[in-house]
Amino acid sequence: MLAFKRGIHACSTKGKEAASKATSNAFKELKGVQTIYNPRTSASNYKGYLKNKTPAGMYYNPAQSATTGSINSETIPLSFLAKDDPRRSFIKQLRTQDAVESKYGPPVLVGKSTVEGKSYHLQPEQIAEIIKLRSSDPVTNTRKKLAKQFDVSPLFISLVSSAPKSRITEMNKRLNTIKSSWHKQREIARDDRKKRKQLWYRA
Amino acid sequence: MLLSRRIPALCGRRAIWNSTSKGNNADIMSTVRHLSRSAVNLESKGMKLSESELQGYKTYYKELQETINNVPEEIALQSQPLITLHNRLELPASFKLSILSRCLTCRSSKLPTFALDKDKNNTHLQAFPNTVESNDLFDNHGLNIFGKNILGFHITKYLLKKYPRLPTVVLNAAIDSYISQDMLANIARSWGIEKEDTAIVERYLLNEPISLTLGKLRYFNNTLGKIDGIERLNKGNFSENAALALTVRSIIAVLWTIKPELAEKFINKHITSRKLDVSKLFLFEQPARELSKLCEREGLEKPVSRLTAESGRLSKAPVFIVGVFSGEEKLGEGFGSSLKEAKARAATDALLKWYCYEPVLHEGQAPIIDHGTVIV
Amino acid sequence: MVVKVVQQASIARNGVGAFVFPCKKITLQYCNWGGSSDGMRQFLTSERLDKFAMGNPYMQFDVLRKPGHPLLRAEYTNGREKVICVRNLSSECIETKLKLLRDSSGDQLRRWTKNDNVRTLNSSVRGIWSPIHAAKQHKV
Repeated sequence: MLAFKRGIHACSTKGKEAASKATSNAFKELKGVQTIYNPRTSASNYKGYLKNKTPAGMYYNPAQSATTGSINSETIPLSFLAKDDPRRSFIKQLRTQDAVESKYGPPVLVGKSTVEGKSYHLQPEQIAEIIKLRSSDPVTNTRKKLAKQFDVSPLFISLVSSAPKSRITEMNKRLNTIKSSWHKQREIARDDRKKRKQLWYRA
Repeated sequence: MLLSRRIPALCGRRAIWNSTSKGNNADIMSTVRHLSRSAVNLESKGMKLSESELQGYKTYYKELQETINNVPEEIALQSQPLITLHNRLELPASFKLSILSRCLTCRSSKLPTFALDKDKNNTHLQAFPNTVESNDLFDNHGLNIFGKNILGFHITKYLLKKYPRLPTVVLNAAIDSYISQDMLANIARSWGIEKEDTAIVERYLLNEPISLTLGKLRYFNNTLGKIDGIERLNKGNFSENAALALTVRSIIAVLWTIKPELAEKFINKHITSRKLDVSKLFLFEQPARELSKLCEREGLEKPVSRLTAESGRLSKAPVFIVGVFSGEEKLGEGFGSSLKEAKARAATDALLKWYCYEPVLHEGQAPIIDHGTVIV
Repeated sequence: MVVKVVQQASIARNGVGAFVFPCKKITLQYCNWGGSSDGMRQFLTSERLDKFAMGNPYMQFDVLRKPGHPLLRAEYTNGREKVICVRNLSSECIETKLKLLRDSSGDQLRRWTKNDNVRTLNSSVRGIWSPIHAAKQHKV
C-alpha cells in the first residue's frame, strides 16, 4: 500500500553510487543490532540485549528520522559550526549522502536567476523608468507586465517600486468587497489556511 | 485543655494557636465580618466591641506595626512559615530570617497612607484590613530594583553564552520566559510563599501570634474592593503576581549582598534549570530570502532547494521531502504536502540550525561573537 | 522585521537544579473530648511528632483543637490540599498517614497506563521513525 520512493532521483538509477558513498566514512556501520525487538517479525524478545554480540566501539548508525526542526548538534550542518568547534571532525564524516542528493535531486520551485545566474542588466535610468511607469499608470503597468517588459522578476519590480497609495486603497476596497460576499464557512476555511501556513515558519 | 500545657513545651518548631470553641467562634466571626465589611473606621463602627477589647486590638496593631517596621531577629526566629521557607530554599545561615521577612514586605502594603494622603483627617485608613502602614525603611523596594538588575544580567549572560547567535527579539523573549513577572510569581508560588489573607482584626480575635504574619507576603491586597464597591487602585502594579515577583527578586538581591556567587548559584538552581526550547520561540516571515542573505554573508554557496524524496504526488495525501543545499552540503530539510510547504520548512529548518547553535565552551572553544541577525 | 517571536513559558522541573519540598504545611486537628481522637491525642503527647518535625524542617506543623473527628490536613506548594480523616486510628497508623502526606507531591492521583514509563519535556533525541528516512533494509 505504501509506495515510498526514497531519494527517487538518486536511488533508482544511481543507487549503487549513493550506497557506496553513504558508507564510505571512517566509522563502521552498525548493522542488525540486537534489541528486545525481533527485526524481522517485530515480536518482543526479552533476551535480545543479552544476545547482542556486537563488539564495543564507535559505529555509524544514523537516526532513521527527519532532521526537520532539530537543533541537535549532530544535525547542524558543518558550515554553520564555529571554526574551532571540536565536533567538526565527527560531523564531517556523518553527511556522505548529502553530496549525492545535491547532485541528483531536481531543484524545487526555482526562479530564473537561480538557474541562469543574475544578469544585473538594468541601469539606474531604467529603474527610474519602472518607478515612473508604475506610479503614472498602475492599472496598465502591473507588476507582471513590467517584469516581462524589463526581463526581471515581479519580486524585483516590487523591490524597486511601489504602486501609488490610491491604487493600493482601491485594490484593497475591491478585495474587501469580494471578501464580504464570502460565505461564513469559506471565511473560516481561508482563515484556517492562513493559520496553517504560519506553522510552516515555526519549529 | 488537656494538651495546652504540654504542647507548647514540646514543640520547638511548631506554631500553636488554638481556635476558640464553637459557640464563641460564631460570635467572633460575625463581629469580624461586620468589621471587615464596613471597615471604614474601626473606632466609629467598632462600638460593639468593649472598650478593653478595643484597647487590646490597638495594642496588637501597634505591636504588629512596630515589628514589621523593624523585624527583630528573636520574633522572626519564632515564625514557622519563615523558618520553613528558609529551609525549603536552602538559604545560607547568614541569610537572616528578619531579612527574609523584609523580602516579604512590599511597599504597596502601606498604600492606604499615601493614597489618601491629601485628606489628613480621613477616617478611611482601615479600608485595607490586611496590612499595617509600614515605613519605607524595612520593605523590599530597594532590594527588588537591585535583584531585578542582577537577574537580568545573569539570565542574559547565560543565554548569550549558550546560544550566541540568538536574534535580539528572540533573546528578549527568552529572557522573558525565564524572568517575566508572571514566571517569577510562579516560581514564588512553587516555593510555597503565601499571601496574608486575613484581616488584622480577625488575627487579633483569633489570638494569632505576630510571628506568623512575618512569614506571609504583605502587599496591597484589597479584599474589600469587590464587596464594598471600592475600586482597586489601578495606577501602578499592585497585583499578587507583582508582589510575588518582588519577593523573588529581593531574595536574590540579599543573596548577592552576602556573596555574589551565592546569588548566581541560586539563579542557576531555581531559574535557569527550568525547561525552555528556544527553537520554539522563532517565527520567520521570509525564511528562503533570509537564508540566501545569510549564505551570502557567511561566504557560502547560494542555497538551492532540491527534492530528495516524494510519495503520492497525485494522491490526496502527498508527501514531499525537500532539502536546502549549499553546494554539496545540506543545510536543512523540510517535509510537506506541497512543494511550497516543504521548501518553506526546509529554509526555516536551516535558519533554526544557524540561530540555535550551541558552542561547547568547556572544550576549549573560544566564545562566539556573532555578527547579529540577518537583515533582508 | 524578519524574525518574529512566539512567546513561550519556561517549564518548572523540580529536582533539576533545586529541589523544593512540595509539602509545606501539615495541620493536625484533634478533639479533646471525642473517643475517635484517642490515637491522635496519644500521638500528640508522645515524642513521635517531635521527632517527625525535627526530621522534616521543610514543613510547618500546626496543631488545632476542634470538635469532630481528627484530621490531617496537608498543604502543598502547587496550591492543593490533601486531607485524611484519622478517626479511631492508633498513633502508629497516624504516623504512617503523616508520612504518606509528607511524601506526596500534592498532585492529583492518576492512573497511568501500563507502558507510560517515560514522561519527559524533552523531544526525542533520535526523532520519530520515518519510512522515508529509514535504513535500507526497512524500505518498502
